[in-house]
Amino acid sequence: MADATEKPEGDRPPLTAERVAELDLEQALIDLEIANARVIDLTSRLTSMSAEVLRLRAEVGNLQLVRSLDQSDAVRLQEETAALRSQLAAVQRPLVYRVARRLGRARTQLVRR
Amino acid sequence: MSARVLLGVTVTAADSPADLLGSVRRLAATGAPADLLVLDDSSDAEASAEVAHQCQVSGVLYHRAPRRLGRTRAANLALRAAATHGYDHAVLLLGETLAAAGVVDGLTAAAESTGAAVVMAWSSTADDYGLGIENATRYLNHHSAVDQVGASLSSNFGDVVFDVPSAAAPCVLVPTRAVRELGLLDPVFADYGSGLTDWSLRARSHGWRVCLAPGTFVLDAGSRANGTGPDSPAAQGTALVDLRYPQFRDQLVAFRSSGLIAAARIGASRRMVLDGARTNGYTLEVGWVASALPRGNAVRCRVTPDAPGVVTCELSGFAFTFGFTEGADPAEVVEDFFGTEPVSVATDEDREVAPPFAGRVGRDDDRLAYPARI
Repeated sequence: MADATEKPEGDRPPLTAERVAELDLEQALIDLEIANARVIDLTSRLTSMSAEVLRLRAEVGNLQLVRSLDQSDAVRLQEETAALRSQLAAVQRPLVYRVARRLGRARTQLVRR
Repeated sequence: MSARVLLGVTVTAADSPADLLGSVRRLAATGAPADLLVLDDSSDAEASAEVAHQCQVSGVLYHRAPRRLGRTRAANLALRAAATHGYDHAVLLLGETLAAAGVVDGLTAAAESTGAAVVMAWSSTADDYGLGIENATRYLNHHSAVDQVGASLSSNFGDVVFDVPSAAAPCVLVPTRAVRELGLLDPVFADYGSGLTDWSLRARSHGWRVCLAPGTFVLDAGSRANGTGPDSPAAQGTALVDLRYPQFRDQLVAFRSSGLIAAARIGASRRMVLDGARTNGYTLEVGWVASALPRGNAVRCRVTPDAPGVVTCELSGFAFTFGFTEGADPAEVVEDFFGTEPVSVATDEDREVAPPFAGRVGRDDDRLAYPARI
């Protein structure tokens, strides 16, 4: 960074090649200091972010597992429902069952009158 | 009291020592109100020795770091030198750039009138802020041609200044008080253009203005040695700028849609062809096939049957187009525009031209007696 204060014009040294070389060295040292600080800061942030990535990966894996379990449960329930429906249809198909159901409805209507 | 300006010229391995030395000598000899500092970042020791010798002969301050700095850090050195040694402004100029006479004056006036953190000279590049001159180095390969463009732009735009979203140009002026408040370019940017863009956005975030002075001109004659691939310094710099300033790209899109630079380019081209015609005259060509004969520095005006209501005037990479109503005589329209008669009129086939020009119409020597169009 540049100097924060400005010297009076009479105190300012003239700009010479030697002075430019001095400024080059000073700035290089400043740049090195800042670069080192950035490396430390970025390393810390990288470590934190890596831990966060691992945690998020585990969470995603768990959510995927729960989702897959839910999907298998849903498939099983569908199959059970289909089996029960076919059983019900099998019960309702015989003539004896149908005649008994009609007699039951007729009785209900007579009771209402 | 006039402002003290330090002109920092950054030289890299891609620069031609002969061109650079010519440019530096010219800057030193024209009495530009600036102290010169040549920062040699080239890895070619032999070329550097030659540059150093010529700078010593010309009385120009020269510095070559023991190790390559890169353009961004070299620019920081110029800014730091200016800020710590009583200069009011620092002008950062890339070595492969030819600056028109009066650039430093124009940029200084713009900076002091606007209080901007950075003022760009209008360059020949085809980016968002440049003039977009095609084949600029082919036409403007000498200082006299560059000065002519600079004079035309200065007369056309005067001290007009445009506010722009960011700075990215081969020649910029930075007031040292901006450097003292905002600091230097971030050396994390290996690409100088990205570093300058980042610095200008930092300036804007602190309330400073970033401006373009269209009345000043520089020719960018350099090659982009850094490359443009996804792993190039430019691409990495762009990614970092986008990370720091997420709204910048939208601001750039909005600026493009304003049409400010496009309109300014048209104005510049119009001025160039008018000044060129006033100085060297103009030629009129009517037909499909463009003439291959050299016409010196005259403006070249063409009317093609494909676009019967349009006249295209070209000079040194500038092209200005204007239309005329159907049935009007193109020769009269062009004469009205320029205010003078053409130097010559040529057609590729027998065409009716206005009687005043009939006597000056003739076939060019390079045309053969068969239809020009397939």
